[in-house]
Amino acid sequence: MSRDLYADGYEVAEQLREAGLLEWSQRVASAIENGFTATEILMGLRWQLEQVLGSEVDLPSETAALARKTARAVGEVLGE
Amino acid sequence: MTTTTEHRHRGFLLSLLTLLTLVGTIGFGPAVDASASTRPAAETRVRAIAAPATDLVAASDLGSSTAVRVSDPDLRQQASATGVATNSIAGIETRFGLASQGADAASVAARAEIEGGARIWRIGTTGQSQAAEAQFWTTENPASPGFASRYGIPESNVANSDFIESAVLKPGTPFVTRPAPGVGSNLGGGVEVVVPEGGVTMCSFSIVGPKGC
Repeated sequence: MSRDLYADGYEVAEQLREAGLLEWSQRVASAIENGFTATEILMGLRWQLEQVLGSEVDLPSETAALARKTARAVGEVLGE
Repeated sequence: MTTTTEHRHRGFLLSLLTLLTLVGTIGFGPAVDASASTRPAAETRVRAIAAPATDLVAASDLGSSTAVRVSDPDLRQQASATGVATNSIAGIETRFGLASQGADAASVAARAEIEGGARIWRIGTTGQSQAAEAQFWTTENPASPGFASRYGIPESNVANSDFIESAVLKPGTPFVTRPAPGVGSNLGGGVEVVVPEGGVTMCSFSIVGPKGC
């Protein structure tokens, strides 16, 4: 069984929601919900995670660490 | 004496004339306009080389991880004329970054089928998912058993989907094929197809589930 990167993505979305960053939370969750191949979902998820990490928003350190770790793991699964 | 002097003078003038002719031939003459050439093949070649940031990859280089984009129409035309497969490229630009060609046997083998007109498929949710303009497709009909697991799609996505569509690649359109990664309990391994936006001709679109007929 491979690492469940979708669960990791949803966990980032949940932490963003708890931090009051509702729009970012929705964007991360939508990347998982609106993709229909694994490559589409994973590339979209990583892109959204990179967007939130590169934004000006004040991310909780735990959330930023999880987002960074998930984005890196996605890259490895995609063979990059 | 006079005759000898005249001969020397004539000889000097002939040498000077020859020298001037040679100088003109090797590059100090007027610039040659390639586009005004009367040799079409040479003209095409000059234009193709002048196109910025374009490279070709031979079909045998499919396993390479080099990202290549063939975007210049003249270059594509020339490549086609010389027998190089123009849609054999290593990467397709998507809205989320570059999708690279898979090096596994199944992905490479699928290329010929897709170039030969095999259908590609996709499921989605109306109002949320991309449809005809979508870039990510599968080589298998979504109705086939185990589809979600082979394509790494969460069960909830499949449950919420309400359309199935199929298409064929537009002739000459670049694309990549790659194995779907396994995620969680999904095994992955199905062959995905990534195309540029608008790279397919639609064959069918069906609304399924409660919204369908």
